[in-house]
Amino acid sequence: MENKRAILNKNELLDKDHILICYKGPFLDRVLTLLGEKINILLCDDPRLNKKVFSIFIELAQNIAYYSEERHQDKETGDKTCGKGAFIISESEKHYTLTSANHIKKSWVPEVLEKCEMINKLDMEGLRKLKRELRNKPRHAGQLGGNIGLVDIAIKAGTSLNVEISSVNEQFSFFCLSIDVPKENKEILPGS
Amino acid sequence: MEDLKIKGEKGTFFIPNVYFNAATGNCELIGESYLENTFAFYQPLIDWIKEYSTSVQGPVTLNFGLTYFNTASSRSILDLLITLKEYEEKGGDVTVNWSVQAWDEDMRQEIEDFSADADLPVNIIHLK
Repeated sequence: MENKRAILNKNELLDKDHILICYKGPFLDRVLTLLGEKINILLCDDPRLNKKVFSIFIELAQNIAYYSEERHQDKETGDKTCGKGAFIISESEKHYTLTSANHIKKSWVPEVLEKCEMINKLDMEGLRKLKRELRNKPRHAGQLGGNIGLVDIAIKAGTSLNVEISSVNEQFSFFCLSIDVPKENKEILPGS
Repeated sequence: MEDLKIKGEKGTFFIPNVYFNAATGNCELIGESYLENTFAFYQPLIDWIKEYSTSVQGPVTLNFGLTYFNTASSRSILDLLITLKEYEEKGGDVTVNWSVQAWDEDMRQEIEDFSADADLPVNIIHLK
């Protein structure tokens, strides 16, 4: 009971992670809609932060839907499949943390790690420049998204991508990506 | 030439409202855009502008009221602006407006980048 009471009494949990949303399963369109709506309700008092968290959620969720190696198929998806994975939003005193996880091919791990490391080394100007370079490249066949999701996440959050990769089996690894979104807008706070 | 009208959807697909008027050249793109197959959605808009620029050749005013778009949409939005730029270079009268909420610095940044990459001025209209 104490645990449940603590969860219901929000103030007590500001010194440790408070999980607002937790989902594991297929990242279907209707799932993204529901989770997105929940974010909008939770953050309705701060439109700027609401939009940031929502944008990052969509990019993370669509990455899982497109690229996860675990696939789901049902009447809604028809001939196509939809990626499966997991997602959490937690809240602490100064920021919200968005974490996503999905299976990826082991062979992709070096490239993904390299990309995240490169993103983390860039400042805001460098990130904007990279985003534009990637966006302006000619599209290749079969390309689903804009190829700039991870860069956009780093720009919107203004913090580093935290990546953890662990082995699942011979073929696949578990790719876990986390990002903190500060509650305060540092640019407008005096003296920060 | 036919008008282009697409009814926006919110709930599952999140496609914006589109209304491109062939008689006036007034084009509206309003709502949210975070669909999966963005290239398929935006291609008819790009084709319409191309056809308008060769057959009607009148002024074009593109009014963006996009409050949110995912990164997949942003490439297509750039392509739309580039198509307008091509028309402007051939002598077309092109105006682009984008309405933005006062607090939305991220969107202002995106618009500046689009404007630079398409080499086309975009008038930012601040909403209260």
